[in-house]
Amino acid sequence: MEQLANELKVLIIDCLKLQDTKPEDIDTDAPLFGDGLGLDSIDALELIVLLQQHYGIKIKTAEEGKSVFQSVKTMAEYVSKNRK
Amino acid sequence: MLKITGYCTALNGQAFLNGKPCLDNSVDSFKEMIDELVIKYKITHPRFGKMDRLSQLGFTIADLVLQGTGLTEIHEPFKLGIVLSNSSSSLDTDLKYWESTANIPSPSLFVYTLPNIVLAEICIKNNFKGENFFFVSEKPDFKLLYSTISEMLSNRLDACLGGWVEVLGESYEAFIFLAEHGQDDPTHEFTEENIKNIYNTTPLWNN
Repeated sequence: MEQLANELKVLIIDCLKLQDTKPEDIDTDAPLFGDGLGLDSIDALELIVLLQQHYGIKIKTAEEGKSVFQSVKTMAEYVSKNRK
Repeated sequence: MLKITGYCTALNGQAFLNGKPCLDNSVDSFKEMIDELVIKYKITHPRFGKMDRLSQLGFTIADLVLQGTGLTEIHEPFKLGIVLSNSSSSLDTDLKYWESTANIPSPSLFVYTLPNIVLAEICIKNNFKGENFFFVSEKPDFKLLYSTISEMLSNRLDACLGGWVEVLGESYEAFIFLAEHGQDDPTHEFTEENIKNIYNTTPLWNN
């Protein structure tokens, strides 16, 4: 799981163009939105695209997205269970 | 009296602020120029890396013009406006977005497929809440810029940014000035002729 979390951090930084952020700067358990990485609604859409492009996973509802994108940890758990 | 109190231009890897070069040497690419200006002038914004090139150029050049003016401390946000223009609209990003549709369309590119988003980025950073316009014309239309901004300054605004911000492929060009109410002093009075003169006499356009 830790390896997948690190892989996701690299993808998130690249996909969201988080300049000056390194994978080790992202706390696996920290919230992605709000106080954590401070992502916005467009970033949320990019994360949906990221899961679809890299893991073949489609987020179908806003509620599902909310629980998946709480943190890198929740993303990694979701990807681990649902990747194709 | 309405006056032009600051201006900045950028073209071909170099930028000039109030007629003086911003960088020691000209650089080769758009990215290099933006990166050097951002570092030298300590331009910070959490979304900067996510902006498209039109927004990065307009945001950076507007920031150079506004740095040190204390504009937002002096004036009410609703008294600060902006009027920009260009010839290619958002085509530079439109094309990148179109390319992305071959796979999964990019939401972050899509949000920049309007030319007026550069206005939004500048207004959010600098707390401008007054009127704003973005015009598309084949070349800089100084008459339109002057008539629009002078009407706004005469009736509603205290200060207004104006100019030209163009990006398409390898080609880019920016010219942004600040017009505001000032002392009776003939230097850079805000007139159509003076906007044209400043644009035409900038060192970049004469190389």
